[in-house]
Amino acid sequence: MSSEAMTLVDSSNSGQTQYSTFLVAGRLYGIDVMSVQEVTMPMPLTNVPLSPPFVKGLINLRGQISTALDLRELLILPKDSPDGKMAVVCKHEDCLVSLLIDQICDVVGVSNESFERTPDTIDPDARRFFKGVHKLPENILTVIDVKSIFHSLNDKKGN
Amino acid sequence: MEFSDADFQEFKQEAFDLLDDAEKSLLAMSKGESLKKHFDPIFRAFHSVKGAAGMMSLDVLQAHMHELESFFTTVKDENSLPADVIDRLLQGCDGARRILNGETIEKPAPKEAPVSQSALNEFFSEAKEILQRTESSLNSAEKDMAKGLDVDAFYRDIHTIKGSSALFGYRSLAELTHCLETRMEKLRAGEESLSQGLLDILFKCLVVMEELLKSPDASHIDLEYLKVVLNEQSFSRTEEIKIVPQEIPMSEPVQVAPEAIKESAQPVASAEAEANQTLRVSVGVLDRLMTLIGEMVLVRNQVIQYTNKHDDLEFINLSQRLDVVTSEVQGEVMKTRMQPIGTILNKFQRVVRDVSKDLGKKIDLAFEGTDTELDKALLEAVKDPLMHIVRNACDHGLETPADRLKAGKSETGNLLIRSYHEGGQVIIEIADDGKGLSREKLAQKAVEKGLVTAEKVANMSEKDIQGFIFAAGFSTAAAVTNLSGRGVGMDVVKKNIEKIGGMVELESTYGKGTKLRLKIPLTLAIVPAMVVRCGEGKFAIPQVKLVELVLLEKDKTGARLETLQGRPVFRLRGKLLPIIDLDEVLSGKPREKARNEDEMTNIVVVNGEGMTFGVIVDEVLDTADIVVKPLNKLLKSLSLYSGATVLGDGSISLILDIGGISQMQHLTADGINEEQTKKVKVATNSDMNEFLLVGACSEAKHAIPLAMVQRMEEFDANLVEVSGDVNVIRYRDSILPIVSISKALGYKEKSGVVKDKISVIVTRLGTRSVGVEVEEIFDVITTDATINDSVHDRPGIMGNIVHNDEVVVVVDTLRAMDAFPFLRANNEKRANSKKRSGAKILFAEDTDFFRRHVGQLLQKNGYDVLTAENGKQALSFLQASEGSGEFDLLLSDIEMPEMNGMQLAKAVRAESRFKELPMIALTTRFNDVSVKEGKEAGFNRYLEKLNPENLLEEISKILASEDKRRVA
Repeated sequence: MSSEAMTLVDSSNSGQTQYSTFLVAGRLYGIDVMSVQEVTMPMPLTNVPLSPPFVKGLINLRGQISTALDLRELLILPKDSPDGKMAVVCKHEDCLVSLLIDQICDVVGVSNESFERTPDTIDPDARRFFKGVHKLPENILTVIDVKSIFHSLNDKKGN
Repeated sequence: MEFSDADFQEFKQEAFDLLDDAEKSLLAMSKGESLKKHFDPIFRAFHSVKGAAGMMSLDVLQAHMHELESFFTTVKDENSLPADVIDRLLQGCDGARRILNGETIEKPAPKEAPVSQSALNEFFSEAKEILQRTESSLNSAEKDMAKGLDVDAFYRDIHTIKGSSALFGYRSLAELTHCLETRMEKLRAGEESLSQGLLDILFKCLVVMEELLKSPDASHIDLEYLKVVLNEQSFSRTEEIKIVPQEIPMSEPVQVAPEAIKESAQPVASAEAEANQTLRVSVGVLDRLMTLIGEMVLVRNQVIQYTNKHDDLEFINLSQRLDVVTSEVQGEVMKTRMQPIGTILNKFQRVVRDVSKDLGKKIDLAFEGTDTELDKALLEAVKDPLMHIVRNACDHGLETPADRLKAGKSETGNLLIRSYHEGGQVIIEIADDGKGLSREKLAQKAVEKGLVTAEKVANMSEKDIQGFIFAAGFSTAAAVTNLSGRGVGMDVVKKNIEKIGGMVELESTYGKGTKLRLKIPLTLAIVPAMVVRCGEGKFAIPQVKLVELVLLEKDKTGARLETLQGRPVFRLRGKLLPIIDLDEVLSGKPREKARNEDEMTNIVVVNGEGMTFGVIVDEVLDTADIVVKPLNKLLKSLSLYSGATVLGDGSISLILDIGGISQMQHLTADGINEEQTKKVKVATNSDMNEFLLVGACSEAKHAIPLAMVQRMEEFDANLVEVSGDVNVIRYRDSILPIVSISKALGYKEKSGVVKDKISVIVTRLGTRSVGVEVEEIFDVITTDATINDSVHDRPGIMGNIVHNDEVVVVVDTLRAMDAFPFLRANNEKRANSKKRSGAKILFAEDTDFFRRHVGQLLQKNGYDVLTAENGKQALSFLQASEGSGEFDLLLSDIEMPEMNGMQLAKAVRAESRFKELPMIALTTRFNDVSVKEGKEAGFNRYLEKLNPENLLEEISKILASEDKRRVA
């Protein structure tokens, strides 16, 4: 993950945002480090019968219960490779969610100049969870908006 | 009192934030968004800044914001705002910012001592406390005029409020308290004496003072009138009762002492003095503590489970200590949230007082158990329903004095609110001795409202009909009064109580009165539940929803699932019980294999939304106190779960919402017999007794202690075979002797009646099971009635209890079986057998951990174990035991509260019939001296805890030698 556009953790210049990056189905995603509580190793999942397909189960996170969400399902990714088991844990309004990922990568600082909004050609069902993308020299980092996951999924319920 | 720089900076920051928010909304509107969406946030922002500015004495800003706010209100009803209006509002925001910035240079001179919010809060809560205190003292003075009012204390309280309200700018309040004070001075000086009229005024003043605390300018209150009344002299004319102002009751010296300081010192100083005793902590901190404790308990459970697999003594000791400390911490933290119920009940005195005055009734409200504690959140939740019930009782329940006299009752109606703990719940009873519910009126009303047909209602039980008052929109009051009668009452009460996991029960006798019983869980956070397995998942069912458990076995005729229109049903004691299969509910598809093919089928009978139904589960695992955690919002739409919990082994279990499931399955309460919904508690830790009500060949109903009942069965009569003179049934690979309860008790059996089915209660007699045939199985009852043993005319009868105004005969099954010689023979044989697997052991141990641990160990090895928490309890168990209930061995810890092991041993040996009872001491205090001491006290053996093999060996050894001795 080393490149000129990225610098490692400590640099906190105002023109930069730090992302916790990870791989799901071979694609690179990132979440603003400030929204990430922790990253966990694979943990046992408790299935929730009749739950929507994107809910993989519940995780006992040191006595707190976290809901595991399947990013493959949410982001409409191919399901050919085995499911991810590591999780990025995010907290929003006292609710914990564990986003299941395949592999965790570095925390990187990315210059805000490389930011661009998500192209319109992306499936809107997946696009609603993206804040935008960062053009990195070797790759494209898709930024996931944790809040929108909470909100749009909740709204969906209402209908 | 000046506000600090920090205060001002904080205020400024907040004001800026608020203005920013408002501006954002305004800008959104300029882009075409509707006013409707944004009106509230903007208005709130303006209003908050205005309020805060007022508090900080920033007059210019306050006026500015006021103007802005008023202007904004005028456009409230518009759909969208024209650009120029938005511009003006934006300019207003800018103006506010300029004022704010401009004034930072020189801090505004406080016009009249401005106050920080926290000090104000302090003042509020103190004033509220005082008002509450004075009110209750007025109440007691009114009750007992002769005793009079503690004028000094009253005067001091009023004075305190006067002082601080003046300080905080509550002018009207200060003026009112001043007048009150003047009046009280007269009382103090003995110029005037306490009268009913004066009390009325004082009560009125308290109401007004409370009002003034809420809104200091309270222009709607006619203060002047009150002041005039207060200054009037004329009240001394009315009926007078002398009071002795200087005499302070000796019973309250503690309360007087700190008050005395308060009188002379400034309120602030007194607050400081109090701070040493109490500390105000935000509820948020407590909630966080509760969550953390919950997590700690889970870790503790895991440590203990881990400990059980290891025998590192040091580690076991440590984990035991962790166990004890954790439990204590949990207890203490829970306590911080607990408040005595009296804090809300005291309010009711005044309500009842006012209401009874309005209605021209005489009502005496009494409390019992006001110190019963309840979680604060729950207390708040029951407040309104309680108020409703109390008003209802005053309005509809209790009659006017004239009517009461006519009915032969005393003129004054009695209303009693009683609260107490029972079986892990708090019970609040509201009982009146009024006119009760009239069956005819209720039935008529129910038909009128279309709740039920006239034919149906004629066949309904009293209880079912009374249940109608919980139906929505139901009211029997002939006229709607301003108090109640609009029919929105009881259904809301019931709903609100059920929302917090409680229950409402109604008991009413026409002409005699009505009693409502609210059962409230101790806390919201922890509920007793039963854990069941279904497929791979574990699910918890809250115990309040449980009715009973039914186990069906294959190859046993009589009890099996039947289908009705493709849906399974089950005949439970002659009534059809709708059945749902949890597996099918959860998987959303029908099962491939029919349940009837399974060896065993577990049915959990539950009560949801007023109806009873059975839920088939794969396995019943355990009961546990679970910590309820809400589910993520993403899962809130799943109505079949009410939350989740972490079990002792760290796995997660979903909590089933029985009400939600019944709705999902479209089960409705129509036509379901309510009688069966009576709750059966599965938990064993309650002081209530549970009995099975059965019929014998006698007029009276008979009760068998539920503890004696292994299971209830219904057999086809033609399955009964005969062995010698004894009826038997082939049952679970063995032969079950069937004896008749009527015969056992020597009742004359009805002859000539041939039955297709017989009801049998399987009970345990020593190591074997016996089927006791009864005429009929009625119900399971839970009662706190004690057994009255003054009348028991034959062996096998323990005595009588009264249930539902009916005398019920309590059967001692063990003794009753003595009527059958063949069973006795069996008993004796058992006593002589070498293998004493069914031996009865009494185990005294104070530590919960060891009690469970060792108890389970012994049970696993086939012993019958009864545990006691201390020596005293053990001794009472021993003394109470007799006949076949006698113990074969006493196992005791040494260190115990109340009565330790040594004292217990001595006490046991002191009774002649226990001279030879084998006793084993089980302890960690293991040295020569203590062993010698133990031997002297009477223990046969002295063993070390935590050595299960040794313990089991010694027990079997000692029992074997005891058998030999008996035979000899």
